[in-house]
Amino acid sequence: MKVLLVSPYPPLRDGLANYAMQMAAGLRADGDDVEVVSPQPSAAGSHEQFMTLRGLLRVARRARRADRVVVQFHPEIFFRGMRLDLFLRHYPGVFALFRWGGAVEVIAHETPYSDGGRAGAVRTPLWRLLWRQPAGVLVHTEAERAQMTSRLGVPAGRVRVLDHGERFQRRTGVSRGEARRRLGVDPDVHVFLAIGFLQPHKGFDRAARALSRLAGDGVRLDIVGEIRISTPEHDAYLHLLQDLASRDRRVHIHDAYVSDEEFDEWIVAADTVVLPYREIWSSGVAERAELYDRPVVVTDVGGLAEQVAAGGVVVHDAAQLVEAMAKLSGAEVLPETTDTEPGGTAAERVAPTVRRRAELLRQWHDPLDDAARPILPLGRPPDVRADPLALPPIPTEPGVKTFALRVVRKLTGWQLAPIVRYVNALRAVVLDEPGDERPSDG
Amino acid sequence: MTAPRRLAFVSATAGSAVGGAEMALRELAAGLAGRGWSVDLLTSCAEDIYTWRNVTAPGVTAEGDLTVRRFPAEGLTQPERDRYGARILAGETLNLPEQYRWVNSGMRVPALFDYVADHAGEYRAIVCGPYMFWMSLALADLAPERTILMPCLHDEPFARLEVYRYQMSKVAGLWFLSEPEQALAESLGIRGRRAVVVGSAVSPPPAPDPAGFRARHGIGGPFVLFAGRREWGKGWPQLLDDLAFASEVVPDPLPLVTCGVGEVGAIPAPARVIDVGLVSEADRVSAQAAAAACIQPSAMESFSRTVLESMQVGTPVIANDASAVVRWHCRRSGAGVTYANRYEFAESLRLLQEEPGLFEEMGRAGPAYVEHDFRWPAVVDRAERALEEWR
Repeated sequence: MKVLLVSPYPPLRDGLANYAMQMAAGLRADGDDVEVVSPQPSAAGSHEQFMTLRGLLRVARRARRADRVVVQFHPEIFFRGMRLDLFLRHYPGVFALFRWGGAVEVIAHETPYSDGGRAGAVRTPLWRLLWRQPAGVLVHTEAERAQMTSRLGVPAGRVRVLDHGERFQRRTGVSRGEARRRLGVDPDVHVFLAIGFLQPHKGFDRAARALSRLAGDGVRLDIVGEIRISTPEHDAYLHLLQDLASRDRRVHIHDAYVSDEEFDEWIVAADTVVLPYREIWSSGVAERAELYDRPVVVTDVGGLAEQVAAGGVVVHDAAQLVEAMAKLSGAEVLPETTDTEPGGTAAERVAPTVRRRAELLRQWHDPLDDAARPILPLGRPPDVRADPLALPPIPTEPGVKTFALRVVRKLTGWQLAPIVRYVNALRAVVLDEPGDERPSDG
Repeated sequence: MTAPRRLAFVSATAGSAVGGAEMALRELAAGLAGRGWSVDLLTSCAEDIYTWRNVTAPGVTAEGDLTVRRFPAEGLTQPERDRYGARILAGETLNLPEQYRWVNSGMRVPALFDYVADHAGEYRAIVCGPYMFWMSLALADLAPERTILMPCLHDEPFARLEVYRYQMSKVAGLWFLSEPEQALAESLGIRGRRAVVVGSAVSPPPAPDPAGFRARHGIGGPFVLFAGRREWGKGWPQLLDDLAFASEVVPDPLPLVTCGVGEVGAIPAPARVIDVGLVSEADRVSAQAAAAACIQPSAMESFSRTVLESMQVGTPVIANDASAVVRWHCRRSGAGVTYANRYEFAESLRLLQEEPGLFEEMGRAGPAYVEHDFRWPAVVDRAERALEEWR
């Protein structure tokens, strides 16, 4: 069978590229004839511009010659951003590929199941239309499958749950002892591992704080990965992790690119993989941990709980994370700090207790959230709009001036009116949805 | 010719419905009338501060000790005002003509203006408020020498407009509702020709009937309460947002019961909100007494009657720390806790659930605080003293 794989492809530091590589290898192992087209020059047979109509039409044309087409979908591959103008610019190409690309199956890695705001109201029906075009949609969890059918209206029969690890292969054969020796890790401690790109939604800070609640030197946490893209938010997150590590010598940050082999060596070296994600749909790391029979501690977000059903511990809050890590490592838990403040009047006890607990809650939810800012009314007051642009009115009184203005309007209106419409369209978008960039999950 | 003990109170509504400033003006007016002052309440025929629809006939009526003179409200459509308002809120500097355009594009009471223009000299003083009411600004030009403004100021971009700085510097005096309000005015560079904290108060409540409230509205277990206007300026959308967050992180938090005017709007999951609509004063007091805690999410308060109403029935308050006056009430009374962010809000709800006894103990500090500092006789004393001293 001739299979066309439309995806980022190595050499590239990208989870999807690795995923595609392994999928291609698996398909080839099954006897398929695999061709890969990537969005930039790579080890793939060819590359096309995925963010232009012309580029995607060429991909579609090639796709029609294949027996099976597998598209790895992540919004960042096909859309330069989710701002409405960018979305609308890139949408036709993606639609063309999904619609006229032949036997297209789309693997959905990050799908905007809910899209808010006024621009979201425009995008949502377009997303629904888009996702109904491919012959098949592949997702990683039942939770995503449910979203795909309920929110995006894809017929249930067309959505299949893919085993995220079905194409995963081991990339190292070293023993735990050898892996620890290579990585310079004490052979006798219980190693918790948090690995992947360093981004706030990965929640590695949660693991660091949880580890600090465990007593003794018999445990350590290794946070392994690098910042995917340097942004103020990502940089701040790295600083936060470094700060946490500076306060507990058992927390180690390895802020560097890791090769595929080294990635797996870390998993082999670990006793427990900790994935306390704040948001995610599914996790390749969890699959790799399963590949090496390493227990995984995950938070109950997206489809993670379902994904690790047998070999994992699912936690819902900081206390449960601490409890799980203590149980897996046999370490004792240091005393709780959320007890009600002792002594004083009720008011003297309530406020400090609330503040202390709130700080822990903020740390769990969004450590970069500036909790010091005052709570002001949310958004703008209702029914507030800036003046739309309009061509100046022409007086109705008869006269030379009115006549002259009418002539000028006649001569220039055909050029000015579209500009006014365009400016007002932009105004509507800007007024109703400022800064509509979604975080990415790499 | 000025009558020695004749006063006018000028208010956007007659103060019998919603609107804390209007209620405060009316109660103070009634208090002074009760002490023998001849007091006219000059107001519009409107009661609804959203639509400004005229619902009462214009004319003169005797209401208790007050003579109420009503005039039709006009300018009931507000798109232009909202557009200018959006620019102000966005931090844009409007020039003076634009500021006046904004002021004059909202609700106006031209016939009241004419009345005051014709009769101002008959009053010893004209007390008006809040500062953003159209007539309060008009009075700064009509009769500044006898106008006393109760600004009901809170920290918002409108307070920094040149038109209002002019207004507050031009009138004869400023009556503040609390020390934090006066401190805010001073921080904005507003001192007024004369200024004093007259304060405000709440009346002793009718005997609450918490069980009756629960029975009437089918509310069984413990709950927290928001009583007031469900609107942007009162922090309602923000409260819903914070409640949704709290409901995600606190297992099964107490539901929020709400009463008052304004659209409740969409309730974000998984927040639980029970709307009992606009209720009578007696029912509101019963709701406050029945609640495990009352929530005050507004960042823009100059006095906060609802906080004091909750405290006086012994119910603790969980309030937005961004409001200086509410923070002041909570700290002085020991009957409330403030939250500075959604995390503190959530943890307040969690602690309320875990240790209701602590909150009950806090609540018990409330009645004495209100009784000591916020009853009308003391406020009327201070107002009378100012009227005598400012002659």
